[in-house]
Amino acid sequence: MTPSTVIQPGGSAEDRYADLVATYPGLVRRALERDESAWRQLVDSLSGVVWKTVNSFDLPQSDREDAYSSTFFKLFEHLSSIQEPRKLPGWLATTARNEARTICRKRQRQTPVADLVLADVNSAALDEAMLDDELTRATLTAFSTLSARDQNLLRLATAVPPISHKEIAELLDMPLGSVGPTMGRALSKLRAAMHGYRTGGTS
Amino acid sequence: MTNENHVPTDEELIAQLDGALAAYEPLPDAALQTAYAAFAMGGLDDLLAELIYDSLAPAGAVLVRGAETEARLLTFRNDSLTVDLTLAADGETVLGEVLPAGPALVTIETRDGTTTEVEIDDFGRFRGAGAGVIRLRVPGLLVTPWISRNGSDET
Repeated sequence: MTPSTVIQPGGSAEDRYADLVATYPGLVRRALERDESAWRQLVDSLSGVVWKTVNSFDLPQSDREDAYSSTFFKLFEHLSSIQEPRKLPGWLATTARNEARTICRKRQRQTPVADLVLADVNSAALDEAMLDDELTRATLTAFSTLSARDQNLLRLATAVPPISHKEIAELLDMPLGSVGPTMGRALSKLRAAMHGYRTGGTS
Repeated sequence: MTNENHVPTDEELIAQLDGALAAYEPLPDAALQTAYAAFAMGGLDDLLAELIYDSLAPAGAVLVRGAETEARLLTFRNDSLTVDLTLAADGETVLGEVLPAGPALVTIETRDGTTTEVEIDDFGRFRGAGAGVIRLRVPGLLVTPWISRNGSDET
């Protein structure tokens, strides 16, 4: 659905996906002119950003699916008023977070302070998951050793097209200045945990 | 990643994590289909315009015979737009004006699923055709309830 994350060295993440993002103004215009294939292309292209955002929060699967779908309904509703289609990834991430929060609050009506809690991939959840591929399992096992904040920084870092550090800071409610450094440290931790796997834990 | 001693770069590690997460928490196809369907469903009910003027309204009962001979004038409004409509007495012509002007296209939908696209001019005016029970949609902005010339509106 989404293009695979093929990241080459050099240039910012935003630059690397400039061609993809440049298709959005045309797709938005065509969708408004009742071209359904253009709408589907928009959904395909931006699904990953929305799904990764809603997966950053600790919600039941059905709620995450609802938040995902209603985010695209919101997009369709606002299609004609989107001023800068190139900023759709960030707009959708923010909208997805808001939809997740709305659903979270509806569910927990009795506790008005209810707010989003970050998702946390833990070993118990991994034990239940059906993961055949060894590398996938090893990657997720390493991932599960990270804190919830580190996990979600990295999850959002895998979004294609990329969302900016500023948007990630808002999504995860953390200071902008700490996004880059914390992400770097989280990657180092993941790498270290993976290294243990690759060398049979004898490093 | 071709041998044990290769230390993955940040980019490789992120790509690897991306693949692992896709296996762990795949997007269900049903959710994707629902997102696609936003197009057909025209977004949420927020688009639905409210009837704020109807030339038949004060004396709807009078129109028993007026249906075929008089135009019906209607005004619909939602948060985005106001649409003035004239369902002409010829039983087919639909004249309208969208305020504020700006949208380029309006579609006239009939109950049997036919959709006709009509251009809106720079002043917000349009002229199209639709017989029987119809519904107008300004894509992404407004949709009217089902309406007809004789007032036998359905929902």
